[in-house]
Amino acid sequence: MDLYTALSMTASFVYLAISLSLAAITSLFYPHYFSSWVFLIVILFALTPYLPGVQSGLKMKSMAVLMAICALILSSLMSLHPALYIVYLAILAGLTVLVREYEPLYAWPVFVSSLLVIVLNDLTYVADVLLAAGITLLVQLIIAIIENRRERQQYFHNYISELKQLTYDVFDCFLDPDYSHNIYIFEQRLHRQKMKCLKLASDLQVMMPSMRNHDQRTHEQAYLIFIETLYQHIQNVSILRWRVTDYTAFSLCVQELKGIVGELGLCLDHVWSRIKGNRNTFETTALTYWIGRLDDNYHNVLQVAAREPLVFALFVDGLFSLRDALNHFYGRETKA
Amino acid sequence: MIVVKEIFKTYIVRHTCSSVAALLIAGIMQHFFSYSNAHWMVFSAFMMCQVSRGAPIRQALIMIAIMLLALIMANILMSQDHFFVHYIILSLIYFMTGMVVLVNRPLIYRYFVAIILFMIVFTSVVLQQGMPNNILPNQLIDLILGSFIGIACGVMVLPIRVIDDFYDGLLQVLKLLRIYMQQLSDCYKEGRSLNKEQSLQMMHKMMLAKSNAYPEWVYDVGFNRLLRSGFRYYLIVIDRIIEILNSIELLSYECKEYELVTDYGLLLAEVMDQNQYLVAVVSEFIELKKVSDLSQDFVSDINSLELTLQSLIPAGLDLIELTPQFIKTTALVRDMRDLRDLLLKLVVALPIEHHKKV
Repeated sequence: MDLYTALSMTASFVYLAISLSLAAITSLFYPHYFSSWVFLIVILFALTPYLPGVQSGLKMKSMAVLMAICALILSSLMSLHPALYIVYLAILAGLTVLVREYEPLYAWPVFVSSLLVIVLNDLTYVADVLLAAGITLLVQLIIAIIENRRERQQYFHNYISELKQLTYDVFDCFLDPDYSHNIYIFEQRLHRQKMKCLKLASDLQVMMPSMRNHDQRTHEQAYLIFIETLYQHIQNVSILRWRVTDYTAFSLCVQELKGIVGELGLCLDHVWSRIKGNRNTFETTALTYWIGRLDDNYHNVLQVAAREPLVFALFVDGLFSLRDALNHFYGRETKA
Repeated sequence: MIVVKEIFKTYIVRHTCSSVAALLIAGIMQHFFSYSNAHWMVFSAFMMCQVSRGAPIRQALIMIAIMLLALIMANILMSQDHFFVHYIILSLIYFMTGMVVLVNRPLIYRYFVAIILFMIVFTSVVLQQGMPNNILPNQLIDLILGSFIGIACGVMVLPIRVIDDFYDGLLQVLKLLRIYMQQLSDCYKEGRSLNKEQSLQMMHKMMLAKSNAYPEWVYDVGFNRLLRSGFRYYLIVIDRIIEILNSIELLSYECKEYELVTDYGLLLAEVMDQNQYLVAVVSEFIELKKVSDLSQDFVSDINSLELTLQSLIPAGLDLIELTPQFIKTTALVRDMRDLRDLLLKLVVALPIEHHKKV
């Protein structure tokens, strides 16, 4: 686990601890007004997903709170007649499905409202919902001041982590002899990983315009374009897996491929350090060494032994382009 | 009437209707036949509506297992009279669930629901007051009945039309592929390379524009055994086409300094136009079940591109590495050839004969 994940876990723990402690203190002082359900409601509101800067935490959580209160009030009115209540539940279920399919980001508030109606279904619990709402919004308001940059950074961190995983998955296709027998499994894994990267990139792109600081925005936009370029290069390199028809060719360069993927992982870690603002050294010498070794291997062995030597030449060129992109980023960063 | 029919063909409307039906039936059953006098029947039916379309029954079974586990564990806990322990365990569950969700943000909706399911069921049992001692069997019966209603409605009331849904998703992706190819072709004709941001946005659109457009649910574990190999084949070929287009775009950008795109833009554009035609053939077959003219020549354009660009490069594997220009040009031509092969594979895999027979 790297330091950033540890910090992120600590922050999440503190956030949950503050929310639950506030709920515990309030319900201890006013035991006649609030029930133990308040803890569950606090957690459900606290977990509301959001997109920092766009659908901010405060906005999404307020929406969840409002929806839950309205749904509970309506539910208590509908419970006057069982038939009405049943129809109301059915409409809520339909609404949950509709929102989930059309606007996935808003699915959670609707889901939570429906859930509270089903599980609680009593006006007496509105007090609990109000207390939970107060606590969630108060904590959100406090952390909103510091959260925006940190939240965006978490998205950058996740993006680079997923990109690293994508790189490992791509090289797994070369290194794992099972690839040719289980293409669907490997391709499914790759597809899911690509989608994760694209989703994070897309979220980051949506967040960018909301940044007020122009310099910082330009800076982070440049980072985003760079990471997307890396994603393109990794995709470009991954083409080798289906261009090669004789998979035994990979066994001739296992050592080099392992070296390259290990170094690529380290380079991506360095990129993350740079984005975080660390001025540590950033070197691609080891990566160049392993690509060079693969190039030598290509000239001495693969060119003779592989059924399609050309695709390996293109692969090596793709790796050099990836290395150049990393060097270009490093050069620009050093100048800055 | 036709419009209504069309509306009821869409997955969203069908799934919404089946969810509404499930909750209506579960609500009525709970009102008249509930064993536990609690919300379990409606709750489990509601949870069954949250499954995705790839493998709904498998996901429903996983959810049932989670709910049963939570129900049994909570009842075991309730049999002990130490309230302090109850609250400690509840707090632990809250923290663990909260941490898993917060640290792994953004989570896919159905994973999100599965993670919090245990917490909700557990809390519901622990906090429900005035429950008799031996309520567990009744709760289990209600929960299983509700789940059965949810699954049955999903399967019987306007069930998912897997083939139509898959084709709908595929059509949207193919449409975007055509737009992307058109953009590349225009760029080649004008002798410029595609704007970096523009191309990245295009790639995002292809896979994410409408989060439900890309039919990736065919990758779900437990997806229909008879259909999955065919559907997954299509998706894999499309993924590879996207990869190749990405590579072509990257190479066109890198080749800018060698004026390759400027000098041979028309040739590249011609190949790209033919590719577009092939995508149109696939789209038309999926949409109208009609096959366009396939007697066209899909080889000469790519051959002529290869011959022209090969004349710029020295023959021999060792020599192409002499300068970056040679290797980039070779890579671009190879990408074009591979793209054509992939598109032809897509066309060949169309069930044209089957439809002719029908």
